[in-house]
Amino acid sequence: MISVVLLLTLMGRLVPSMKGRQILFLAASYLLYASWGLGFLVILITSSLLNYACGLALRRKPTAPRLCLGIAVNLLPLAFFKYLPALLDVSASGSWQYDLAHQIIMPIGMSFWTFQALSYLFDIYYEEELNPSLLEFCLYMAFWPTVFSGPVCRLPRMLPQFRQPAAFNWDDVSTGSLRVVQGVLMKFVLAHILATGWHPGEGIANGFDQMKGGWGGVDVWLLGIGFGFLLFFDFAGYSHIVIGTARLFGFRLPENFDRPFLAATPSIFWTRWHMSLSFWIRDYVYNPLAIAGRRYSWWPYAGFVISMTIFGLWHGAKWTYIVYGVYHGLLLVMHRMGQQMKRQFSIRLPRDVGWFLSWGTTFLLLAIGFIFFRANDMTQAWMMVGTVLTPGAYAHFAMPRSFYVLTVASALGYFAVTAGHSVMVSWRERYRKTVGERAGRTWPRPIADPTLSLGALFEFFSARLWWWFAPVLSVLVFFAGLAMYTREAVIAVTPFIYTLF
Amino acid sequence: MLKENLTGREAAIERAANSATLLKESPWEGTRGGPVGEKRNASAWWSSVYKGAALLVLNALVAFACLELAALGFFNIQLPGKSENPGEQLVGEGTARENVSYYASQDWAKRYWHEFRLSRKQQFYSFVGWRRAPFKGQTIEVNEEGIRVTPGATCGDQSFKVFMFGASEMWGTGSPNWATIPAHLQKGLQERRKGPVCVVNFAESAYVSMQGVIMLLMQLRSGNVPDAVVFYTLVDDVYSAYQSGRAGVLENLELVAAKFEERRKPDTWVDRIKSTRSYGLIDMLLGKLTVAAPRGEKGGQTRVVTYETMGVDADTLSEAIAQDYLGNYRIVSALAQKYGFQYHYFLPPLITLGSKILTPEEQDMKRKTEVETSMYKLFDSVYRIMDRESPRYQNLHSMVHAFDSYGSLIFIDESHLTPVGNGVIAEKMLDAIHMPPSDK
Repeated sequence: MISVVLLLTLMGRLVPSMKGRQILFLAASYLLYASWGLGFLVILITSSLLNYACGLALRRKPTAPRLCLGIAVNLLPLAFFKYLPALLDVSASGSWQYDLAHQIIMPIGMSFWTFQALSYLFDIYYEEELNPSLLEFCLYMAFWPTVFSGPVCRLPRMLPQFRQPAAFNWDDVSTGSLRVVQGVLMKFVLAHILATGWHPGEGIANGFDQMKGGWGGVDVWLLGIGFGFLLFFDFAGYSHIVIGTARLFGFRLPENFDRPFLAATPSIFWTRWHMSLSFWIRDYVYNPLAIAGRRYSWWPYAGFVISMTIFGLWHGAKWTYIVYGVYHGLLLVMHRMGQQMKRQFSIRLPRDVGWFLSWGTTFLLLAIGFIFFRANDMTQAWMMVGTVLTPGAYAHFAMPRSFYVLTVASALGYFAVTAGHSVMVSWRERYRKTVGERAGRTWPRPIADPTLSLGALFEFFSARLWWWFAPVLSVLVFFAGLAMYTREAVIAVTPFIYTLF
Repeated sequence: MLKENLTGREAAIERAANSATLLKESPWEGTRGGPVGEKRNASAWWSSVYKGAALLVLNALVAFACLELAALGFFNIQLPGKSENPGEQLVGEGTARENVSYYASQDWAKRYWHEFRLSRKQQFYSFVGWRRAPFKGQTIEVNEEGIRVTPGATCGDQSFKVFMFGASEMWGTGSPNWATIPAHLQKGLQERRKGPVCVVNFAESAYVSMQGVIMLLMQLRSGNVPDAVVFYTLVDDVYSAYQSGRAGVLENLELVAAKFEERRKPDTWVDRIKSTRSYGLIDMLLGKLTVAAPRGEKGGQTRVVTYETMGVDADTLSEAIAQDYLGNYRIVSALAQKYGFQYHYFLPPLITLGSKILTPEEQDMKRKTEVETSMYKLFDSVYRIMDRESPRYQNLHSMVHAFDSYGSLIFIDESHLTPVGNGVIAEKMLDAIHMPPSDK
């Protein structure tokens, strides 16, 4: 199926007519979506048609009632498919409510494409100039790289790309391939090993699902941190694959992650984590709320909590998600209040010490948040948080040794790679400024300054991606292929976490 | 004037430049410029292709060297091994039999499979090749002699001694110390006898019946004479023949022989690649990321070497297996007469034989066994011969129909049993063993 979809998309890139191209892209997208269930496709098409009609109505007269109708068109099906089963599931087994709850299956990616549709309606309401054809809007809703788990796109970004003439670009192929490989490694290697453990049953999933209690204090911290990295590798890996695949065909999708664990404050974190959704929440929930209640000084704080609760609720109708949202809302409030206090009392710390303290606090608070996100229920979440707050629990270690080593190694590895990359990029910039431009060549004469030499080396290799990328990939694929053949094995595919939302 | 001052080389360069300008301005600009131009373009093309290919190959070698170095570093600072402390995490081998529904209700089961994995370590043992290394867990205990401990066994001069021989079925794969066949027999005999009873479990995984005979000989040589001897073997005799195409040999014969002879197959290029650290690293990583492909996904092909792939006839092999087995029986019979002990041979039940009403789980196990048609055929054939021969051997008892009246789950795979099944087998053995008149 995926090969047919890729072929159709490739053909789409080659077709000179814009309409023909869009038809092929839409056919590829619908084909892939229908492979999950024809009923799902019917729902997606119906939603696309209704939203397009709402858009037309709003374009004629952008009134609040019309917008509300559009919102209802989107939120009612989402509530039916996503939240109703969770509400009915508490009924006694055998009752009609229970049976109904188990018969409702949410179309895959519904949370993502519903939010895309809503952003379109909001944009029109705010009188942004958008004039998609029905074909373009359907393609926007169903575009196959993003339909399952985002990134949540916006029409103003996608429309010009759907309309642009086909052009082959080696840079797209190079960057796209690199990102796909990067995503595959993050998802299928790092996330998988973190979840299942170095030895079977010694991973993060085991720490949350198999243990009913008895964690030590360090165990809970590492489970929180480890799950944060697991979620990052899983979803950022997915995003890399999706963004890279789209890039192979010339599409540039919005980014979803930008070194989130280097964020020194909760506010910065939310500009780097699941960016497409957090920006959606900022633009279409927080900003309108903040404007509506600007007369009251406390209102922005309420806005934070309300917005982040909606963010948490978006993941599903579970108390753990709601508490996760409220918790992050409160973190944003505390951060804002902390900033005001800092200004009021003129607290000054050396810059690096201040940054490190701020980063460390944020990192640990995020870990607590991830415990709420991952816990199976609130009882478990409170038990784990209670363990963190019990000094006596820090003398007790319940997890296997490999869990501690793997989690700490993953975290340190992440920071080492991220920091290493940032340093190399800064050295490259320095090299470009001092030597590259002057000499007009990328490879300089021997330079005494080692950072400039390393910057030059980095520039050299980044400019010649295929020189090393193709051989490295070939060697890895060769060894992996041989090992797979010898083992008579197949890859153990664990579902992408965000496809569950 | 200037031209006159040009050297010959400079003049040639200028001529070439002029001709290039002419060519550019000519109507053929952008087309191949005749045979000479064509040759030059083709040469440049080949040159760039060669350079590109050389660069990619060289970089692939550099990448391989870097990977090899990384693998070397990795293997030198490996992650800690699997947790040896049973209190930390209970992890089994991940086999299907661990997930048999019977174990879901047994609170010892997780610990048992965890300890089973840990107790797998074997050590060399004279004449028989191997026995388990000493191990002390809560569900599995192997003593210094490599013998699985039978709870309650009181071994002294006055004890009624029963030596039990066999492979993993007798050793107790799938059962804790207190639920193996010897353990059930120990309990049964204790109930029947006033004095002490000493049931010793000489069985070991993958033992064929000859190894049991040798173990018995070693006990007799040291003066440790039993009152009764029980052999519960045949499955591994058949399996070793299935592997090697020969009857009466060790299980995994080729592996054992190759290790002993330090034999090495001539290295193919694939072997050489597989011996690199890079392959080791990637293979290890893949082991964590992959699962075995379901049977049939490779078109039903199997690359296992068996008697069939060696061209050995199943009927001939079956006959040889049976005769070897009965030969061992006769040796034990002669020893029994000489040393004055009673002896009993029991043919273990198999999921593919008998008339037990199989549970859906057992039906699934049976289907999986029958997929290996050559093995299934061999077992079937050998057991038929044993049926034919058994009337001539009064101490040979078949357990094939032991579970015909049982509808509950008894098997955990093709031949190993739940503790309940072990209890049933022990009952049958108990019926066969004669107690001294004074004890009854």
